[in-house]
Amino acid sequence: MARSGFSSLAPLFKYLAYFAGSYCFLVAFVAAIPSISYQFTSLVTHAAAVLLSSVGFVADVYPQSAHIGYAEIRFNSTAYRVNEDCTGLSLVMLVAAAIVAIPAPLRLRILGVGLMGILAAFIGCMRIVILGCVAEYQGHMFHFFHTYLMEVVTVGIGLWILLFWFNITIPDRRSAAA
Amino acid sequence: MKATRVLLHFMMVSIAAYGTLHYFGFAYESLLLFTADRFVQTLSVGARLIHDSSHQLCVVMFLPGGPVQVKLAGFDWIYAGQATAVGVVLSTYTSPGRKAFALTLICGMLALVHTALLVLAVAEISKQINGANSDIAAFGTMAFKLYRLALPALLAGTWIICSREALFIISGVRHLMPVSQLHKTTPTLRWLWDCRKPRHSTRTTLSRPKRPITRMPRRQNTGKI
Repeated sequence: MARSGFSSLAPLFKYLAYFAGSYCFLVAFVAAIPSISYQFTSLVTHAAAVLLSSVGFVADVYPQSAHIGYAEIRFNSTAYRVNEDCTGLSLVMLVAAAIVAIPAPLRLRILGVGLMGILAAFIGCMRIVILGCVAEYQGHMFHFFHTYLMEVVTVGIGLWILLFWFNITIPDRRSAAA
Repeated sequence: MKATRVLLHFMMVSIAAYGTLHYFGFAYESLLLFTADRFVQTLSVGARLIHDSSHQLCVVMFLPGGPVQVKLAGFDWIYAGQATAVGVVLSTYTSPGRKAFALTLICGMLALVHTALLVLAVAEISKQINGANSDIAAFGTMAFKLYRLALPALLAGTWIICSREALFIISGVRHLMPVSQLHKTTPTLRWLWDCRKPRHSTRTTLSRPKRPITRMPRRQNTGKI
C-alpha cells in the first residue's frame, strides 16, 4: 500500500525537483550576469514606452541608469524608476522553470519556454503601463496598485500560464505515460 | 481543469482576503509586532516596536540623548503576501481538509517570515541611526531579496502539491478531473464486488434466455388418496 502511494507521488517529486533546480539555476545565472537583468529591464521599459506612445501618450525612456539596475521612464507629468522587480523578471524565470519541469518532448519545452516567456515579459510590460496610467491619473491609488493589486495579478497570471501549459501538454504526457 | 476559472477564483479569494486583512490588519499587525518585539529584545538590538496613537507602526530607539521614534511606513505589503497565499491555497483542486491544512501551514510560515523581516528592518534602522547591529542588518537585504524571489516559487509549489491528483495521475479516468469526480472513482465496496464477479455470470444474468412460458399440465385430481 505504501509502495503504491509512493509511486503515485513520484511524478510530483520529480516535477518539484526539476522545478526547484531550474528556478535556482536561473536565479543564480541572472545574479551572476547582471547585464541580463539590465538588458531585460531596458527592453521591457522601452516596450512599455512604445505601448504608451502608440496609445497616444508622450513617453520617453532614459536608460542612462540601466547599468545600476533601473531605467527611468517619463510619462506626461510623471517620471518613475523601473527596476528589475517591476519588469517581472522573476515571473519570466518562474514560468520558464515551471514549463521546463513539465514532462514533455524537448521541442515542446523549448517552444513553451519561448512563448510563455514572451507572454510573461508582456505581462511585465503591461504592469508598467498600468502603473504609469494609475500614477498619472489616480495618484492616490498608486500605492494600492503597486503594493498589492499588481503583485496579486502577476502571481495569478503566472498560475494561469502554468495551468494553460499543463493543459496543452496533456496529449503528449498521456502518450508518454502509455 | 480550467485555467481561467482558477485565475478568477484566485483573484476573488485573494481580494476578499486582502479586504479582510485591511479591516482587521491592526490585530494581525499587533500579533506580528508582539512576536517581533520579543525577538528584538532577545537579540538586544536596543529598540522596541510599538503602535502609536494613530495605529502606525513605530520603532523606538534608545539613544544616549533620549529615545527616538521612527515611523515604519509602507509595511503593508505583508498583507499582499498573506492574501496571495490564501488565494493560491483556496483555488487549488483538492479536498477541503487538505486546503485547511495547507492554509494553516503556509499562513503560519508567512507570518514567521514577516516577523523575521520586521526584526531585520529594526536592525537596519538601528544600523542607520547609530551604527549598531550591523551584523544582524547584513542579513536584511539578502533576506528580503530571497523573500521576493522565493515567495512566488513557494506559492506555485504549494498549488502544485495541493492539486497533485488533478495534475499528475495520468490515466484514462482520473486525469484532470475535479475532486468531486475523483472521489466518485475511488473504489467502493459495491464497485469491488462488481469487479470480483466473473464476467460470464453477469452476462448470463443479463442475457439469460427467457424460459419458454409453457403451461405445465395441471395435476389432475384423480380422486385417489
